[in-house]
Amino acid sequence: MLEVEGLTKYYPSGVIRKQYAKAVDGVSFKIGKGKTLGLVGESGCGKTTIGRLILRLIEPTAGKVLFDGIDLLALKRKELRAIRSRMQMIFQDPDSSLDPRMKIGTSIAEPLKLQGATPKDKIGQKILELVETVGLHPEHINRYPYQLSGGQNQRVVLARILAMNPDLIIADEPTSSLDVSVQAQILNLMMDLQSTFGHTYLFITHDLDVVRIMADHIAVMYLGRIVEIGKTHDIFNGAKHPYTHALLSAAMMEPAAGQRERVILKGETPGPTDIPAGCRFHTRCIRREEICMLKDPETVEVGDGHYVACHFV
Amino acid sequence: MAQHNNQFMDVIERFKESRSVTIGATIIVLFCLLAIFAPQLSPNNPTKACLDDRLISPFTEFRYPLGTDHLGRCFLSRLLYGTRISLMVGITVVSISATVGIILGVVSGYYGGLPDALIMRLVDATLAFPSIFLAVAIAGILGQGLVSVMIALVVVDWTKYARVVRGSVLSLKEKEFIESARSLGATDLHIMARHILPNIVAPIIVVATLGMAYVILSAAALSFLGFGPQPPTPEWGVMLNAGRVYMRTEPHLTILPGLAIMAMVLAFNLLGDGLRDILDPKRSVIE
Repeated sequence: MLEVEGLTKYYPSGVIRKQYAKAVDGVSFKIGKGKTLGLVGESGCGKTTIGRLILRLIEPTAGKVLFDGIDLLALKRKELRAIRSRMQMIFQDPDSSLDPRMKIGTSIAEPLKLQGATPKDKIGQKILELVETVGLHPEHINRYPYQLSGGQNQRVVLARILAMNPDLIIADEPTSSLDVSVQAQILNLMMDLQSTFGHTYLFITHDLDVVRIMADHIAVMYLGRIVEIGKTHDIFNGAKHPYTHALLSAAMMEPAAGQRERVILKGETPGPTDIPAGCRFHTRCIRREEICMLKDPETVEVGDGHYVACHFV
Repeated sequence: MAQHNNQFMDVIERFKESRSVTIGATIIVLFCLLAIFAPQLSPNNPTKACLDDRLISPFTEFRYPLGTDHLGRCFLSRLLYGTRISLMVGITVVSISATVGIILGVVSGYYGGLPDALIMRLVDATLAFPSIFLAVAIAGILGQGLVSVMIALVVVDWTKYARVVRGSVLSLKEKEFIESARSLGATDLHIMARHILPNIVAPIIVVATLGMAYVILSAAALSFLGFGPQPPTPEWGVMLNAGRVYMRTEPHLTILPGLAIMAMVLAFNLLGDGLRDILDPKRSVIE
C-alpha cells in the first residue's frame, strides 16, 4: 500500500558555514492495506515532517515514496493533484484545520465540489450522509467552526476526509488537543471508519496509549530516524532499543509483564542541526559504550518484521 | 440562517458600544446624504456667478445662507457640491488602489519568491518618495484636472494595501486549513479566492477606511496647490485657495471649506480607528 524508502529532509541553516538541520534522515517503512502504523517519538523528532513529506506538502531532499507502486516523488504537479485525493491528512488542531469563515456545510461540500464526482443536486444529501456518519447533527451544518467544540470540529474534519473517499489517511496527533473523554470518542470513530471503509492509517503521535489501541505496527523515531519498528505486541512486550524502553517506562502504563524497571533519560535531546556522531542516541543512552560514539548502528531484524537500530541486539 | 443573524447582530452590537465608530459613522452618513441630495438642498446653482452679489457675508441674506464668494456664487451650494466631489474622489481612489493592492499583495504573500521580491521592491521604491511629493510630480506630468489627481493618488496609495494584505496572507498561509485545502486537490486560485480573501477582509476594511481620510485630504491638498480641477468646479481645496486672498475681510471663504475637509477626514479617521479596535483583536484571523 504505502512504502517509504530512505525518506530524507534536510533544511539548510547557518549563514557562514553551510549546515543542515536533518529533520528526517533516511526513514523507511511499509504499511499494508487496511493496516495502521503508529509513528511515535518525542516532539521535534521529525514525525510530523514525515506526514507532510509523504503528501508532498513539503518537498523531500531524497528518498522514495511508493503509493500502490506509484512513485509520488516523480509525479508532476497535475498528476499529484489527481492522486492526492486518495491520501488525506488530519491535523493536530481541529480549530485551525477548518476555515473560520466557512460554515460547516460549506466546508464539507468543498471536497465534493473539488472532486466533481457528485452531481450538484446530490451534494446536499451527501453532506447529510457524511454528517451522520461522523456522528454530528444536521443542525451543525449551518454553524461556524468557532461555534463547535474541538471534538465536533475534528468530526467535521473527518467528514471532509470521508468525502474524498481516500485510501490512506495520515493522522498527525489528531487527538492531542482534545479532552481525554473526547479523545476516546474520536479514536473509536476512526477505528469504526477504518473497519467500514478499509482505510490505511499512518498514525503520528507521542501518546503510547493511543498507539497501543490503534496501531498494528509501531515505529519509534529518534532525531529523524526510526530506531525500532515492529508489531505493536512485540514493541510493548519485547522492546529491544534502549530509547523504546525509556519511552515505555515514561508512559506510566500498568506493568504488562511483571515489574518494569524505570528508565530515566538524562540530558536534553540534541537539536537536528548537531546530531551526534556514531549512534545518534549515545549522548543519552544508559547502555553507551565506545562503539556507540564511533559507529552508526545498522538496522537489524531481530524477529518477524521487528527491526532495531542498536549495537547491542 | 439564525446563526448568521446572531453573528451579524453581534457585530452591530459591538459597533454601538464603540463611541468613535458611532460618531464617525454618523458624520459619514450625514455627508453621504448631503452629497446625494445636493441638487435638492442647494438654494442656487453652485457655478453661476452673479457679480452684483459679490462677497456677501454669511447669515446676512436669505438668498445666500452662507454668503457668496468673490464671483458672487452661492457658498452653501458650492460646499454641498464639493461634498460630492470629495466623496467621489475618495471612493474611486480607494477602490482602485485597494483592488490593485489586494491582488498584488495576495500574489506576493502566497507565492513568495521572485514575484514577492519584485512586488515588494516596487512598493519600497514608491514609498521611498514622500507620497504627496510623488503625487505632485505625477499630477504635474499628467496636467491639471481631477483625473490626474486621482491617478496620482492611486499610484501612491496601492502600496498600503499590498503591504497589509501580504502580511496577513503570510500568517494565514501557515494555517492548517490552507494545507488541508491543498491536500483536497484545490488549485491555487481556489485557495486564494475561497480561503484567503474572506479571511483578510477585516484588516482591509480598516486600512480602506483610514485610507479614505488620507485620500480626501491629499486630494484637497493637491487641488489647493492647483493640480486639481479648475474653477468653477466647486472643489473644497480649490475653494480654499480662492478664498485665501480674502482671508482678512471674508474669513468664511477659507474657514468653511477648511472645516468641511476637517470634519470629513476626522469622521473617517474615527471610524477607521474604532473599526480597528473592534475587528482586529477578536475577530481577526491572525490571533
